[in-house]
Amino acid sequence: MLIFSRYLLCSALLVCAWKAAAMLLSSAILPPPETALIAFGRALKTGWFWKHFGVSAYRVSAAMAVAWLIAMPIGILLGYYRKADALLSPFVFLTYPVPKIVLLPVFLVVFGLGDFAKIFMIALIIGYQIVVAVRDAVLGLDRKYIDSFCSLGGGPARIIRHVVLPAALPHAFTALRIGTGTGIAVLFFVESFATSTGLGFFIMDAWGRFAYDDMFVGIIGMSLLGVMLYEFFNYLEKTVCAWKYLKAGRMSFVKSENSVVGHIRLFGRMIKFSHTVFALPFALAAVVLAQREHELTVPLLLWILVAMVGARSAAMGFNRIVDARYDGLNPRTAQRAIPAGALSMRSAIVLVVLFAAVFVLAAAMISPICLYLSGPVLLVLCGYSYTKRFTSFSHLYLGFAIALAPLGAWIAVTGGFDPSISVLSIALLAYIAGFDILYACQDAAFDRQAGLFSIPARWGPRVAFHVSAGLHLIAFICFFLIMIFFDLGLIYLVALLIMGVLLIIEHNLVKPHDLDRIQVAFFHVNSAISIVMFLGILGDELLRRI
Amino acid sequence: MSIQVNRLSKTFAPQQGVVLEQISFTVPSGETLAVIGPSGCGKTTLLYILAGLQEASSGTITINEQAQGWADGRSAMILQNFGLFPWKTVRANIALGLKLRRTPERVCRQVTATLLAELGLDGLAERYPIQLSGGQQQRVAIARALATRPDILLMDEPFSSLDAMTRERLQNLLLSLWQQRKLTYVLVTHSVEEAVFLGRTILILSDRPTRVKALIRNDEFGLPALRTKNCYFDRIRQVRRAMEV
Repeated sequence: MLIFSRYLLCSALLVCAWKAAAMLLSSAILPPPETALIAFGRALKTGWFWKHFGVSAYRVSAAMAVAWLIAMPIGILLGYYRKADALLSPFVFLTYPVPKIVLLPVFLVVFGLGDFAKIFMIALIIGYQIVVAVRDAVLGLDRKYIDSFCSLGGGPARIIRHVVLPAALPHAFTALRIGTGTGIAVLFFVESFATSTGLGFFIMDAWGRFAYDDMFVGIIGMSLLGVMLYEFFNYLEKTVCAWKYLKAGRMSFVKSENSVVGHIRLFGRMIKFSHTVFALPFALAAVVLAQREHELTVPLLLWILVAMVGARSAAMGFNRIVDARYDGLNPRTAQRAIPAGALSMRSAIVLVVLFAAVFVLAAAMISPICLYLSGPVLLVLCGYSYTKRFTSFSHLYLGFAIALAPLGAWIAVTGGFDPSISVLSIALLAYIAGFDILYACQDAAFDRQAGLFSIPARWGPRVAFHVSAGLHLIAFICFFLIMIFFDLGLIYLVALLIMGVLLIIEHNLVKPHDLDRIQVAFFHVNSAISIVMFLGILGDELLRRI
Repeated sequence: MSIQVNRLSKTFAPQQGVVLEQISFTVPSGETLAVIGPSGCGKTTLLYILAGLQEASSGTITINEQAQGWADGRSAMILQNFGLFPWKTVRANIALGLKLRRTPERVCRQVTATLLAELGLDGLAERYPIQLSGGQQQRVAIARALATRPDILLMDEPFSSLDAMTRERLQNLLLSLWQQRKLTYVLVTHSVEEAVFLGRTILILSDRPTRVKALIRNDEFGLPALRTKNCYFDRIRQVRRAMEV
């Protein structure tokens, strides 16, 4: 789980940083990530990319294999045999700090311009690191293992295979993993001249041609090569040295790795993903209204959806993390994923950051203004989690936070602000705040006890019901005003009437002394109101086009 | 197999001085010896010399009437903290001694399976030592030592790192193994109770330079339910008094 989501998360953050840097620099030398990724996707279908990739992969992996095969025995020799160490160590440690790469011209002359000189260069540099790591590991070998082996009748010849080698292997793998970065760096260097193949050549050549997209195809290719090698060694180490990873805590890595989907599903349930249906129709309604005078492309619509889901999931997940303590205390919510222990705090945090990154990325893909606004929006959304701690009007804040959705969708499409759309936002604010008050009636006693603020906790359910009804009346008035401001017709009017009826039904389903049917009121009726509103606006728009 | 140790001395590098001085004792075949003494007195060194892991400076060791440097081939040793290899599974740890003697794979499997069952390690064969409890690790160490069917078993404080309950269970286990297999063993311990429970003869060593302080015959050794008998406590008192002299 963590391995997978870390990669996803870091890729998303990297792409975000890249996008931001590209926007700030706005120079051809740093194309935006989407351009580079599209170019990379195209390159994957070409033969020449795979030729260069294959050559580079061959050079670096051959070099690392050779380094491993030669350096491992030397390291063991130095670590285990005192005499060999006394004789050879001074030589190793004298030459270790010397930068071998400066000898490349000599190698090229002596070994020719072919692959051999390149492989030799990389292997030499990586090999040194392995020698040093293995030697130190063997020197640090616990004496008791040697005694134990000898007491079983083992001689010095077989002690290497049964004791010294297995003890040194993890260290050698670590050196190899660390060496991957160095190996790729040296690969780039040795490929950047006196050759016409390999990703290093490809990057330099693209640079020379001012083909910056191509250059980034090479850069991405080389990065992927590095990641693949690193993960390959990681995998080898975990397979060959399985015993090393069995310590408490590390063990869970094996178990949870298979349940990435399970974790995401848990997280989805925790953040009530299905409740997206309340606010999303409002955002989509704003999109429908905005596209009357502004062009709406399919990618734009998709990015808006991605941004919505990302922001909502991040905010809701953040809320559950911040409130985990209270959720655990409240019997109604104690079964939520974090307090129940089904989802670790760490996984939840990783997912929240991931979704926040998705939101920022989507905003960046829409327009610069959306990117700039995305940070403050995240702050506003996450700020809700704390309002319950100091004000009874936290319901209004929640409404305000969610009401940013149609506003954001509008800005995404039009690139600007229009006062008329704020009516839709106010409608959403009042509507959400109204039913959040009803919902909070369930927890009134608990909130009072826990020192949390809400209208039902402070003034009791009866007052809360009146406030909620008042807010829903405001929402209904706003729904009506939308019809006027946006010049909507008959279909919306029908939808408006249905919404009115639904609101009345909602308020009749639950009574201050009878909250049993709150789940019905909450989910089914609310989603119906949202969807009817959206369908009304959409239907009206379709009719208008005909 | 009997062990006869005659005037055994060990001197490390000059500045560290004499460790063992003129140690002599005899363990008849099928009998047991518990070695007890203050910590750092050289108990472990004595055991290492018997196992052939270190060399004596002077004196002789006679195994089964044959003079030789150590109890080679026919002995097995259990080290303090078990000395299991963390990179080998339970099965591989137990079979290692046999493998080193180039025993056929089929025999290795057979012996290992028998030992796993005998020591209550069924189902743990493919685990690594780190996944076992202390008591389980100790049983693997015993199984590994017994795999080569040694005539002499050398043990260096084998139960010292275990909790009291596990320790008693494993002491009983060792006793029953001794009865079934007619082992000769030498056990180094710092616990008087353990020495009395597990040693036919109790060898008390003095502080450095280490000499034989007393050699006590423990006739009640091996009696059923010894721990509850008065003679057991009498013997413990006797050993304690001998140590305090």
